[in-house]
Amino acid sequence: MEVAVDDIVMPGDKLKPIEKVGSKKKVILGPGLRTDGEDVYTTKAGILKKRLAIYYVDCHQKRYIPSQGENVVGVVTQKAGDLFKVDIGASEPAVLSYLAFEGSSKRNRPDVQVGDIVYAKLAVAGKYMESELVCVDSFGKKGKLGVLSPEGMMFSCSLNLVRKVLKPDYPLLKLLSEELKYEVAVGMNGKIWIKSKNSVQDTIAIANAILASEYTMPSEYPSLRNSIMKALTVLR
Amino acid sequence: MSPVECSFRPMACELNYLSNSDGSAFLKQGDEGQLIRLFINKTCESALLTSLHPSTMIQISIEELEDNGSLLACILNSSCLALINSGLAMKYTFAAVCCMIDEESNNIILDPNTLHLKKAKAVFTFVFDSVKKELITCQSNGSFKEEELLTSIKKCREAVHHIFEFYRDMVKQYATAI
Repeated sequence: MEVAVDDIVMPGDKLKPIEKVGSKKKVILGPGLRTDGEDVYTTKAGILKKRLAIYYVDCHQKRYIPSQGENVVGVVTQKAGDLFKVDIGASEPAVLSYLAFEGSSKRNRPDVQVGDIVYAKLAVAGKYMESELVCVDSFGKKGKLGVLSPEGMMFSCSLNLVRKVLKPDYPLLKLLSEELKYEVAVGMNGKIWIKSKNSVQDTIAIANAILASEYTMPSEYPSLRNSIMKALTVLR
Repeated sequence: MSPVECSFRPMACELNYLSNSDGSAFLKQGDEGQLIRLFINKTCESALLTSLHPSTMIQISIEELEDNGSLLACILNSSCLALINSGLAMKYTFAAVCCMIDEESNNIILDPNTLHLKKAKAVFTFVFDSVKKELITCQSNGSFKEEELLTSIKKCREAVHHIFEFYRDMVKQYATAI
């Protein structure tokens, strides 16, 4: 079946010709598309979208594939000599060197325990190699990266929700911050960590609000916040 | 329950499966369990772009809740839907159709239930791909003639687009909900 932009696509569908042969225009094939000879085929099910010159398939996904430069939230599962193994929800655990922390050296080791939640950047990611994490930027500063407080809570969600939350104009976090004080770390791997300054109830309420926002229209966010706040006042 | 309603594969080995869940879709009906696993494995492997996922295990677990005939077809279709939902890169989707040949009338019945299957002289499950509608897996049971097999394949191939349409509808429902 031939498909065009904004159509529902299934794996194996063929794209209608995008550009004429000999055209100098650049076309970028994003996720969910592959070429086979002269033709372009889809490999995922979803909606075919186009932004600028990028064509991609927008689909609901929970499985994370590591990609270089993305910030992720993960759990330290093992200490192996100089390395920490971190579960980031990908097909295999990523490694985090003890030297990849701000100010760490052979003598001065960072205090990281098994079970800690870390917010780190993927320095190396590829399908043939083990992914590598770092907790410093290119200047050797930690910035927002590092071990997250054990008083917070981590939960998993779909990758679509993460992308939604990370949009600069995502209004819910701002709306919630008018009433509650909290910290949040959003990993591109579908894991979000939250810690409220006040109580555990607040943390859970914020987590529920974020999870509910996946299938809520942005115009309904104020009422979502109000219902959450109402439930919290009952608890208090 | 009347004797007619009672399925001839009464033991849904769900419990057994859950206790040693080794992850695969292990479904035991007599000695067929191992075979079903092979079918799922080979069919999914042909559809997936496995070269994109080196050193990765793709695990499909299937749990049978109720069997009212055409079980293998249902299992294969559900695993295809699961793969679509997981967002794994695929060359094509696949759909399985079950059909049987009636003992008395020699009619071909598509998607038989357990009642029909009691009068079957042969049961087939065919799997087709979504792009070329080619046969990728075939399972047969019972005695039949060559021409009967060929007519069954033809009939199932004509019917298979209903399942592909169903897949597309499902994806549409989900994609528009986001």
